[in-house]
Amino acid sequence: MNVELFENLRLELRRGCLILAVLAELRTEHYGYVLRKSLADRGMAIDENTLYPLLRRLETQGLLVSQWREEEKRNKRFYRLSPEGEAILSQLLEEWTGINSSLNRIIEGDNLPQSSHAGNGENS
Amino acid sequence: MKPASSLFARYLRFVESRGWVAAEALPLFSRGLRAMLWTLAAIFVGLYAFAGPFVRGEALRAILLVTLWWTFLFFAWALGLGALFTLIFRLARPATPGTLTRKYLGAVGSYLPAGQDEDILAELAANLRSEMEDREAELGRPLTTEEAETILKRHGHPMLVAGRYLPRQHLIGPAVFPFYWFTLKTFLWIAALVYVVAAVSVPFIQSMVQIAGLQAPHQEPGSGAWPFLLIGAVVLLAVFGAVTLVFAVLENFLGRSLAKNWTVKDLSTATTPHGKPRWEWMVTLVATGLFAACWLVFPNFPWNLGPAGQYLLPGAAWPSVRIAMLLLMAAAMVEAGVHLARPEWTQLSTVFLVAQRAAGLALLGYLFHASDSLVVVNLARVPATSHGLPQIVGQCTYYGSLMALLIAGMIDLFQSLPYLRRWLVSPRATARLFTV
Repeated sequence: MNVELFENLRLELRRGCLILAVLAELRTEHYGYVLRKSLADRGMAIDENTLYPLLRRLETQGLLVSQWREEEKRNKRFYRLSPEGEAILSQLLEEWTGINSSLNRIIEGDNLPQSSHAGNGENS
Repeated sequence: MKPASSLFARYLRFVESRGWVAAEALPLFSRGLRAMLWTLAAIFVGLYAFAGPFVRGEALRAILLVTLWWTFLFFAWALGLGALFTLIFRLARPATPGTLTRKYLGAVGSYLPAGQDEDILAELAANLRSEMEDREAELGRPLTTEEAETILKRHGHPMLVAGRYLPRQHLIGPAVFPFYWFTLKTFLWIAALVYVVAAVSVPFIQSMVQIAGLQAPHQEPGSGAWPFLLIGAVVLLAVFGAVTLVFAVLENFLGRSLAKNWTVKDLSTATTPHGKPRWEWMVTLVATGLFAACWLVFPNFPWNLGPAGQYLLPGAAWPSVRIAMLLLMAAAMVEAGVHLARPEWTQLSTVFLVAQRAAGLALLGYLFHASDSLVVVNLARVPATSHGLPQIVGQCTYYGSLMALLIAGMIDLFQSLPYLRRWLVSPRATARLFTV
């Protein structure tokens, strides 16, 4: 199997999902490291070099707001979703639900003839 | 932040990231450097303000030399001082997770865009410290230097980390890249071909001229394989640089608008069904027209022989060649005109293509056959020392026409290969190609 090709396709697939995950997670205020940990704990591990610049880019686009604040005697930059970010997030989630259900229909449709031969639950 | 102090901070980060000055020594080094800078500035200002108006000539040059010398001494002193501090601090205290982190952040900072660097570094530092503290909590003890280094190394090379924060990551974007790649390849091939032809033919012509006795022999300095390759590499590099520069500028101005500002109507009129752009047919029409006009205006002899024209006269075969050339040019102009006026007449263009190639090869064959009577030497104008010139000219026309015939034949064969392949693979596909 072409590992490099798979890795490229996997990254491409994840790219859009990462933004959605970050926006959804920042409905609660977090700073960079804790956000990364929280996403990783929920199965969405993001590389530091992807997440930290992404946060700044989303802030520049007006989807996030940030604030420097002291926590545990150390200054940290906390991010949370802006009102515009909230509106965009709900639109994106709607889109995501649509894509997800369409994909499920396509994948299930393709697997129907196979599953009737191979048995149930193999591809879940 | 003021530009000067921002520059100073960047310089400090740079020397720290390179390991020239230890992180612990940096505050002291910074204070020493500032003090020295101010002292030096005061000395120079005093020197120029008080002595400057009264000195001229040699004295002024001496002052400038002293200035340069003191500047050099200052930088040497600063680096020496930094190295001394580093040595002292490293001997006194080995590297710790803290110093490694500062060094890493300093290296990242030296690649970050000015103005945003401090903010980005502060955030990165806070995240890194949190991660290290988390790891310490897991282990139940402080991190060793090696463990801290592992965390920092996992973050990636400082240049790559900083690169993620930069606004634009490419010189030529995906929208423009296909055109750039095509143009670059075309220009590199053309440049290489022109260079090789020029490099090979110029010494050949020079030696012919010298053998014929038209010019005294002389040795070109620097002739040989290495200068040829070196100059060739420089030529190709210059072409690469120029094309890249033009497309980088285009990317800036056109990259985004290209994806938006186009219509299907433009596309359908931009190219003919044979795939050749419309502008190329226009250029063919105009250029061939101009060339044909030159042949008509200068009926007795080609106008572009240059200095050789004074020694040569048209031979017996020349009038036939001239008429054949004019007919070929007329055919090319008709073809271009038909393509511009009726691009859908693709079957006719195939007929033109085959007929022109056949006629071109036939003409070259005739040139080769009649090479000895194509041009003759004007003996009245040739110097007495140049008795070998007729033989030289005869050889040049013979080998020149032979080369032209071979090259044209190879080009025709090369360009016919795709058609031949399609025809061999699927005769129907070839038929569709010509009739669509």
